[in-house]
Amino acid sequence: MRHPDELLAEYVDGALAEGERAVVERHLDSCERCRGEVALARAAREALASVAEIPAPGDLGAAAIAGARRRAAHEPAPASRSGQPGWYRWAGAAAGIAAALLVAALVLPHVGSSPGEEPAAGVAAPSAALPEATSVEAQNVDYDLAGVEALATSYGGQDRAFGSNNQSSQIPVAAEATPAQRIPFAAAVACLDRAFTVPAGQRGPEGKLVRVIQARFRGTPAILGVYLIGPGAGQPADIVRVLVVSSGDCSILTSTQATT
Amino acid sequence: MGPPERDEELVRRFLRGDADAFERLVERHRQRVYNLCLRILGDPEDAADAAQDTFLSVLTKLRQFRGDAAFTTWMHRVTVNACYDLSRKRRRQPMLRLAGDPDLPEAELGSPVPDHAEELAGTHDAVAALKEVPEEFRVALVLADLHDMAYEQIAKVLDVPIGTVKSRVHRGRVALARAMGITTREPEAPFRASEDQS
Repeated sequence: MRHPDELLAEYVDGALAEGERAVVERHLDSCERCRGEVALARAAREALASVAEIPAPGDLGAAAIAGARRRAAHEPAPASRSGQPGWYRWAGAAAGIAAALLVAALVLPHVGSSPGEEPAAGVAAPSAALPEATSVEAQNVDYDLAGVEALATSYGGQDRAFGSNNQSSQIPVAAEATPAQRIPFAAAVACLDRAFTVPAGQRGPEGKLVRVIQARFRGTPAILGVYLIGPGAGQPADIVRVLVVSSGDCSILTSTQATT
Repeated sequence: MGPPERDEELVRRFLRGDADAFERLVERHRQRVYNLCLRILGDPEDAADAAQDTFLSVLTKLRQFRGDAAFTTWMHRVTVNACYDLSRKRRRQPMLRLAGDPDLPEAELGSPVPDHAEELAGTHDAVAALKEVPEEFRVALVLADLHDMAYEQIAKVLDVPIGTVKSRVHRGRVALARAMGITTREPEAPFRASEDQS
């Protein structure tokens, strides 16, 4: 017996035209299986009708909005801008699915082995407007490639639009993380440096390190370093590079760059 | 005050450099995107992650939006893909999640449908039972019955023939009812000897 599966959904919806409905009803008269399924489908449809919507987290999409604002900030067309939601709001939107995951992974084998205690030691090509990073921004966020690219492109040509670790606002989720989960700044910078397996006598990643983020990349606990790279000679930075390294073994997970 | 701007107009404004238009788009669709992710993935935190990825993907890919489909159709496709991506990632990392989060209920680790389903009859509400519906049926079902989307539009979102959508919705409803422990008065044996012989 051939069962009219493709018609049964609309039959249950009450949306079949007369002719097709008659075909289905003739079939149901002789098919116990389909009669049973229609009864089940009606019950399921009725049950789903009472499922209520759940309010979305208030700042869901804030990271994308921030990226859009920063992108628009260096586009030629005028744009009305008000407020610059900080990148820290990433954290609020993705409530902590991996806090315990981070605990397992954030005990860096080289904590304290940083060659220098000064933040962002070994960076070059300073960009006057943005200060160097001095702390690690903890985000309970799982970046993917699109997210890393959005982070890179969010750093437009106008320094005033840049996010940095040195904003007066504190990161909401960071405050919830226990100190044991946080990577010390020096260790994070050392990990970023180490990802380049720096040859003796050379410096680490090129550019000025303006932001250090502790988050995840595709599920792997990671450190994200944002570098501004300029042509030198006091010229403003024209390249933003985001380096993503595993916080477990300091291997490079991905790297992307965008021009400002 | 005039009628609200169409999504497609907001997209055009954003592509001309107006970030406020993008914010309007996000605000307009935030609730819908989050709830779609929530019902597909079944976990609020995963849903927030997938919704976040959705809006970042929308931002990144908006220049590729040609306007040959409605923005909502395109955005639903991006959302469903973000859910599939996260779902695949979760399947690849079950041990990692287990090791990292001892409090996570086993059911959220993608465990198979419990073989004592009959015992759960009457205790499973629709939301909990949705997690037990096979993913491709679940996506079609959520779009149709929770998001009131027409079958033709679902076919465009999922890029499958409309007949496939109707079939998936029906199969999804039946699977949901069974997962809820609903039984019919009539026996449900699919092919009973007496029926075939009659």
